[in-house]
Amino acid sequence: MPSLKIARNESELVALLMEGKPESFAHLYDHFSRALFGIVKRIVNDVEIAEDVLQDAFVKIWQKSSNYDSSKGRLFTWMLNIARNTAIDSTRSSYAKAQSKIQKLDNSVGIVNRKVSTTTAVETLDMNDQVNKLQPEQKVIIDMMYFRGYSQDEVSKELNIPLGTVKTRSRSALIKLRETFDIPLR
Amino acid sequence: MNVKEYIESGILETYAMGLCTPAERAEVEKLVAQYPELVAELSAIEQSLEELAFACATEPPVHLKDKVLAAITDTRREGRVVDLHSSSTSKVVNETRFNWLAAASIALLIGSGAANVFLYNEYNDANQRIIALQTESSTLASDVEITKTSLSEAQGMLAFMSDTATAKITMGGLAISPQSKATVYWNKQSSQVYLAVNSLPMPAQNHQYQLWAIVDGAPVDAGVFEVTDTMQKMKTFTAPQAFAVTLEKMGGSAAPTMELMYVVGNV
Repeated sequence: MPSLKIARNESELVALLMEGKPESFAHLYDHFSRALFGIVKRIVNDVEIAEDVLQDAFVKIWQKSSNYDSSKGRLFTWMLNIARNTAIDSTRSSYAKAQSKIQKLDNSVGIVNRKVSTTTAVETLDMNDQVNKLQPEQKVIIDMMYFRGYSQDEVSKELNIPLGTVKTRSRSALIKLRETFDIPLR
Repeated sequence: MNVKEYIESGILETYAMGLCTPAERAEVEKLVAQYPELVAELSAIEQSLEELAFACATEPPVHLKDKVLAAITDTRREGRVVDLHSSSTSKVVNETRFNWLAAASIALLIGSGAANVFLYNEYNDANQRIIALQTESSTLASDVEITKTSLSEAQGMLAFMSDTATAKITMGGLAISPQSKATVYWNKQSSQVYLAVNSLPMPAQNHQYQLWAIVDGAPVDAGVFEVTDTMQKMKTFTAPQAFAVTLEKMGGSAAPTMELMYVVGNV
């Protein structure tokens, strides 16, 4: 079941990572695997590929753990960047494989599906109450950027808005999100 | 630089979502190191995205954990210390039939060549040691930073709790959950309110606990909170008479659901 609680605080989690012991890493897995898996699954659109990607991502997180620098951002952001890049790489390679096997377009995963996913994306995010407080256009942009790993360029093309507007619109969407999570604006 | 404008541009959001170009990335990291306002803003943005990711989480298959742990035990972490390669030089001098002067000059030349190779290797080793030490010291510095932050948080909390103006209000469980317990710390001078969850059942999905202060006989929202083992800052009150906790829908309610009141305590 998805859980909404974040029981350990940031510095404890960072300490677990820095210890570099498999036992402490297991705690990190327990804490973050669901949130990471949720996003990875949305990017790759396939449960089995998502499992492989999540495993690869955790191995990379382990390998690179001494590179994490808390002054550059929160731990989850760092881990998610690794997981997201692994997932995007895999959609690219699975797309290439699909092309080489001349599979039917509707069977292929990854980029092809990403192109048609904006409307369904809104529905998948709908399951969460807080996200429901967002406007549809705000939901779409968060879904594309955060959950599906679109680049700023891709968002600009897909939504037909100028590149500069991508940033400002993502800000207004996140401001609304912060209100719903009760995280103060400064 | 105008920090406010920079924040308004939305670049921090793009950075937090991992979508900056490498140039933007470098710029954000440089500025974040200079302006504390940017650190605070970035951290709030990251926190909201993190909450969202947790809210939209999906359980991976159970067997995956063992696979991941097996995979990492076979994998080396990238070390902080660069491997120092060992130097070995050996030169075989061919025997020659030159006269002693030629032989001596060749010997000198080889000697100086060998010395060069030796010194060059020493120089490389020293350089690598410096890089390794620099890496180690920056890692240690960031470790110290983390420790300092958590220490100052702990000290602040200790000062607050030991302040004579801080009252401790223990909220005991009601019939719905007699074992439940939570504690409010309220400072009459600063009006600040902190909450510690001693024991509350995990809320069902899409539900959240909400703290209420009873002011002039009526319940007033004091904020929603998570079940964690850390102290949580709640809304401030100048003259509360009592505090109570109810279970509400995610995000809280305007009025308490009285039949789902878990704990209550008088000031």
